[in-house]
Amino acid sequence: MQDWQAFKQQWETACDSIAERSDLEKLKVELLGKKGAIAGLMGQMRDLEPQERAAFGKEVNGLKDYFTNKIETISQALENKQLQASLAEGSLDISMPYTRIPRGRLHPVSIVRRQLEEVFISMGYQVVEGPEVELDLYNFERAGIPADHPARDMQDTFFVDVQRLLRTHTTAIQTRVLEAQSNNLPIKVVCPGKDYRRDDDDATHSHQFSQMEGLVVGEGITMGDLKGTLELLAKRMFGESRTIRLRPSYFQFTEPSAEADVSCFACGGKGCSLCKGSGWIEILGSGMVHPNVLEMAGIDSSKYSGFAFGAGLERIAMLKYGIEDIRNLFANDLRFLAHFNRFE
Amino acid sequence: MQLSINWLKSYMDLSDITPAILRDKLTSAGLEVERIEQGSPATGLTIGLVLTCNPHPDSDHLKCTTVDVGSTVLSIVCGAPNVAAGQKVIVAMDGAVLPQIVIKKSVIRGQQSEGMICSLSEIGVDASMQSEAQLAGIEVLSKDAPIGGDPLAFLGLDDTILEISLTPNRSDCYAMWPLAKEIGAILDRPVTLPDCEGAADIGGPTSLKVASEAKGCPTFLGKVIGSVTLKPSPDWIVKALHSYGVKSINNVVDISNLVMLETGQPTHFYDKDKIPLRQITVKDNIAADYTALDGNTYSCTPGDLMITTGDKLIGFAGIMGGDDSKILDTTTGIIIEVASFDRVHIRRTSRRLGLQTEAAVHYQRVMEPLTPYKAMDRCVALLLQYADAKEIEATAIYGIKPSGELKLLTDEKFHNKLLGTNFSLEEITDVFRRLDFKPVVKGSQVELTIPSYRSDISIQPDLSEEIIRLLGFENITSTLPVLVSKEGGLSLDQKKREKIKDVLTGYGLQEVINYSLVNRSFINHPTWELGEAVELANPLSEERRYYRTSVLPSLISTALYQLDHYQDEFALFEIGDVYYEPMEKQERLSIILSSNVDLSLWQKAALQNDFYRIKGMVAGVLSELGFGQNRVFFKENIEQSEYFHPGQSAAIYLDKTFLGVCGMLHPKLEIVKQAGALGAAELDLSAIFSAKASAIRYQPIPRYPGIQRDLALLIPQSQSAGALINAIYKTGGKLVEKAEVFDLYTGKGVPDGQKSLAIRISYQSYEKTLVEAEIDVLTNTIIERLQRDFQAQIRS
Ligand SMILES: [Zn+2]
Repeated sequence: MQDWQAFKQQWETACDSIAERSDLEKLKVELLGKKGAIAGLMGQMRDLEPQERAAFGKEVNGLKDYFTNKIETISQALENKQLQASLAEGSLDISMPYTRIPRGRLHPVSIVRRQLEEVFISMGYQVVEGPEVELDLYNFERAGIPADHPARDMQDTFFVDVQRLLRTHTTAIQTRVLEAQSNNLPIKVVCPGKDYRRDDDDATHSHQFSQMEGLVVGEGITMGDLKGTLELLAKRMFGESRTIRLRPSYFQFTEPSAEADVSCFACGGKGCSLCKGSGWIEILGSGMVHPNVLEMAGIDSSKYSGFAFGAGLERIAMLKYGIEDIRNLFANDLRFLAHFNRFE
Repeated sequence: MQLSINWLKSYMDLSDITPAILRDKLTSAGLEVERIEQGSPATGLTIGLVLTCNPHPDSDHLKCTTVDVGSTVLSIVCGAPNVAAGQKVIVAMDGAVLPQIVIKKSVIRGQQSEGMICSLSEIGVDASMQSEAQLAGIEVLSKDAPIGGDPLAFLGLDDTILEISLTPNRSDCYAMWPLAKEIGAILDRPVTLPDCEGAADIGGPTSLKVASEAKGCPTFLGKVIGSVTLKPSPDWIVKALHSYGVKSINNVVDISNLVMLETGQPTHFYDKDKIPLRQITVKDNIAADYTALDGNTYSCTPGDLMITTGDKLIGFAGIMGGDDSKILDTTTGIIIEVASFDRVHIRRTSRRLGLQTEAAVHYQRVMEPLTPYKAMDRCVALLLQYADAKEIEATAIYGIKPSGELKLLTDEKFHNKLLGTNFSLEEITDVFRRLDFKPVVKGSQVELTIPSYRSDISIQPDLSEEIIRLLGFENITSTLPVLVSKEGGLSLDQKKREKIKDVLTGYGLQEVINYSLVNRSFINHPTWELGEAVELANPLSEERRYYRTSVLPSLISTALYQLDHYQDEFALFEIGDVYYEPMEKQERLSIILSSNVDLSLWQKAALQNDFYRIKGMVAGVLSELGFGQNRVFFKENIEQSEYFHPGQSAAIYLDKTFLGVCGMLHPKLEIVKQAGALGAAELDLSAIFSAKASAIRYQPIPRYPGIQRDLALLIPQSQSAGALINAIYKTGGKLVEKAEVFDLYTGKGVPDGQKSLAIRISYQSYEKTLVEAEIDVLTNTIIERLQRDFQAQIRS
């Protein structure tokens, strides 16, 4: 009579002592292989009486299934152990520095320009540029500043010759747009670009700077439209809670003219060093396009009206980022430029 | 413009208005107040009479005084050399706070001192406002100073000055009278100015003849006052002048200065005995040397407006009078000159001479045509009152008196339409009343009489501005323009430029912006030659004389700056315009790369910026814009510019259009000596923008397997791999999907003058599975071509 209990116990013990995959393979052959112990038991069946075979076979098959499962479980456990060991071996010091991915950035003036352009493009404005070496005609005459006008002194000019100069304001682009589109109204443009004035460079003055001016001409354009547009601009550029204040001013290109202040984004209007205690920051000049300027471009000023505004890009960048010296924007020191490095 | 509050008070009631409120009101009406300045900040001062003055027993230079300050008599030790008994002086009492010191009773070398006798400097008066004598010692007040009174009030130092920044259209406000009128309009209160209209209409027949032979002098008034008495000015004139930083000299000279401050009209007084000819003519055709009132000799040239009598020069018109006809202590009678001169002439002459006198500054502003007449009236009235003017002759007049006042008709509709407001006719009429535009309502309109000093007002929008600045911008309701909608956005070229910026920043490049104006050395060697640089006629310095003709030199100097500041790793780009005569403009992109950029120090990983990397950047930018390698060609750089290594740079072509240069900078450049090999490029963006990009065309992913063949070749050094690859594409036809170099080697094992090149050709058909034998035949055809055209040898 076969002692099933002893057989199972014997092989159970053998299985439990396995620590290496090679031992497991060897055991698998000894137990389940063609000449293994289970096969040996099967061989004994031939010597049995036919009525005993069924019960015997059932026992053997039960043992076979049992040990097949057992060995598979042990195999998985061994595999898992091996994986854990190799993971442990492959662990890194994740505190070591990363590989630098070189990142480039735009110049802060370009960043500000893009932001402004985006605001106006979303309102349906075209972006128009013009030449920096400009004709007196477009820079002064057509902007309402004839020869010997005292305002020419305010904008000390780099001249090339009698007719040509370096653009002193982006108004020169506007006068070109007015001329080019006088028969294709309405006009709705912003004009960004570099300007030049004969100023000595210091912390707040630069002989080269950038502006963006806007111009809208059509039927029934009012100063209310200007105010609403500037309000929207202030909110988009400096935050939703900003308000604006208009103050009377004077520009040859516009009448009436107004200086626009935005409520201080540093202190919210309470008064601080940025706004010099006033709660307001002067941000741009604006006004209703002077009828003479329209007429010079061939636009009927009794039918059409328009507004214009302009802001200095360096000035906005300086206010926005707290830059105290405009020369920083032209020195291109990488340690300075590295600050302007993220999505806003 | 400086505004004396005390002076302003003589014209209007300001008792309920503080300087701060006045500042806010003026600023919001367009007269921006930049600063408020108090006269003297000192406290605890009183006027005293020096009763006795004796030497200090223990000092050579100190004196012991007794001073009557009204309520009591103080003992004061004083070190001033000029102190003497009988003087009226400024006494700082015990506890007085002066700018530099707080006064305390003390004992000075054994003598009691209960206060201090002050100089003007000690109470905070600027040295420029004082005479030599005043600077040297204590201030001696005039005899009429009240003992125990306030010395600051007595001296006019209790005043507050507002510094107002005026816009050019309101140059009328550079004079007290129009400024007072303007403030009256802003505050809506009455203004009473001295009434002297017609004061100059007196006088007997005159022997004086005035004339102008110059176009730049439309009006010239002359008047002989045969007898005047020179004496000190009355106190109010001294104070008024003082508040504008003008020193009092004597009554006659002071009147001339005062009238300029009041009316904005410069006047000139000549000693009548120095112009015996009684004939004054303005000329502009004289070339001569001339000694002016300041004692300096200047040369006048044709075009300068000159005042002459007979053949004699007596002044640069509107700038400075002559030395030999000026008012002296001996003067007994005067000739008054009041004229209008063209501001352009005055500006030109005063700039050339470097003489920016007060008069010249006034003349360079827009002046109303009636001021000469107003100023003459005022001069005569003041001379009668304060200088015993007698023997007055009638005014000699050159020019026609302008009619002056402009009439305008307006209504509320125009202004509401322009401003986007809802004002009534009554509201706007009230604004015009405040401005003294004398509104008369005529039906639905109002007629205005614009005063002559408001020469800035001529059209309806000028009136709109007056309305809105006095009623306030808060009356405007914010709206947005309602227009036929047009498409907004960037132009195609602008979009391409932004794309390039994004691609380059993605490559790790930092954008920079340099000055466009450069010195000679930047334009001597442009990246490539196109023409003469645009040169400024009036540069500020040699450093900024030319508009740049290439961007790369600026970028090189930016790179040098980084080296100077210990930044030896950089990758920079700049996009900017260049100009060439005559008015040729190109937009350029320039790049500069340091030789290495460290990626990880501990892993010893770095980006190597060699020729092939800058070439890759250029090809990458062009590819992003739609110009693939079938259209972009890197050819030998025959420009041989100063900037590039001749053997490590390439001229870049798009189809047949020259785009620019890329490669390694020339080893002789300072930057290369300092920083090692540097990659750089300059591209003509205008040419790139105007080229038509290839469209995206979809091609199905191949369904059949491809075949690869590797060739190992030896070719002469002089043959270019690029040309060889092109030949493979041409010979192989459409079955050649790709041909690329995977090894380049010279040196050991390779014969001199040869290079070893390994090339992988990938064959691909979109129609069938390729047969090996067919590909062998094609490969052999390619090899034959390479052997024939490139002297290639197959290496086993
Ligand atoms: Zn603030």
